[in-house]
Amino acid sequence: MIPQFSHLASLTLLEALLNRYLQADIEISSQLQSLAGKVILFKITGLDWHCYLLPYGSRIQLQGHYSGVVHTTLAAPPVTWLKILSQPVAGLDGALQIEGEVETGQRLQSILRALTVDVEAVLARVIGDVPAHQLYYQHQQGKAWVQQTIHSLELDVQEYLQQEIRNLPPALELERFYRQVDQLRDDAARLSARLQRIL
Amino acid sequence: MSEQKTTHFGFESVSPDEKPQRVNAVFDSVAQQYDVMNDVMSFGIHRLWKRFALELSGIKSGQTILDLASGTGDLALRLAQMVGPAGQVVMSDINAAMLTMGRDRLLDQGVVGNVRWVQADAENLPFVANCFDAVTIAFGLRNVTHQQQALAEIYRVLKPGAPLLVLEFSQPTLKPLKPLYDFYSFKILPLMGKWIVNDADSYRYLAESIRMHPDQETLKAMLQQAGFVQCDYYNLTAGIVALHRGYKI
Repeated sequence: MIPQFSHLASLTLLEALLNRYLQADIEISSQLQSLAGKVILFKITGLDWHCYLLPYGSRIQLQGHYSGVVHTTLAAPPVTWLKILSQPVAGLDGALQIEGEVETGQRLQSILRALTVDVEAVLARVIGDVPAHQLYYQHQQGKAWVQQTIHSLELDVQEYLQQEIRNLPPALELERFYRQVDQLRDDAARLSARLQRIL
Repeated sequence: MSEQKTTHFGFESVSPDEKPQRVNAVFDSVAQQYDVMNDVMSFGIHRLWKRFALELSGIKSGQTILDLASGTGDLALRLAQMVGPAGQVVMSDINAAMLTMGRDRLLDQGVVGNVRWVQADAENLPFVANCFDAVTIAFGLRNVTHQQQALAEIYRVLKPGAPLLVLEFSQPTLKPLKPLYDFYSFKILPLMGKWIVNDADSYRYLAESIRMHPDQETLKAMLQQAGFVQCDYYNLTAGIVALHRGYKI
């Protein structure tokens, strides 16, 4: 298969970003070395997109095609990959399919979990200590404000729907209802069992 | 076989003995800024050309690869990752300054253990026959004085069934592109060379040597003449660069 330049360009960009990201975490390099020589195939199901990851030293290499043995294949839909990339602490999601060496997949999982990047330090290398600190502080303030605003909006919408127009039941009421449904199901099952014994 | 009396160094005719010395002088001069110039001159596209070559190479873990005209190690760096700790990459270049730059670069990036460095002339390779699983040469063949001799040597050191990959500047396939390409090569490149590495002549040689290099079909015929089979080529960026591939039988 002839490689497409657009695919090669996207791999080049992704590889550069990932290597920069990985090298910003000094502890990650020793963990990556344990994966040296392994070939991991990433598949995005539904998009027919894949790439091979070849760790070496503290770097990784991405390829669109590899002729040799693939040690582990990780396949998941785009949403799952986005979740893994945005919340590495959560590790490998249940929707992720792993084929081949499970141990390699587990090592990768522990690397993802350990991945913490000091964004301020990375920025400082580019624009200097003081601007980096101020920029990072502003970013954190902005992030906190957005999170607080979203949380408040969620509470307001919830209160409006549950308390004011009463279109949705409150969570406690719903839980009580579910408990009653469970109890009714159990009672019905017991009654059915008794009737079968009598008949 | 009659001895060749002159060869080309860019648009100049020089004796075959003189060409290696003058090519050496060019690369001694540009070695320090070679990577920067490559990125500037090609707008970074050389990375995609090299990636394309390796994607088609079929190289896998555990293999032994010879990277000729390895220079600053762009290909060798990726090859080392492809063959993994069980394989081996031999970086080779006739120019000591370029090879030193490549070796330092790989060492700085922690690529050690499966890479060896050999300063060697592609026309007389210091390796036994049938010892490499693949040979790569990127942007180096046009600087070799006796290219057919180099291809014969590559054929000798390859294992049967192993591929040779030649990535090299070639002839643009889009005719309307030619005036623009000529203007860029002969006017802009020397200027860039002067501004960035203070050496316009070396980059004038680069442009001229590209024009003197065999076109796609001629190079394919040269590979076939050396004994390679299933020879094919891929034009990249409208033929500005071509990847030739052939297999030893």
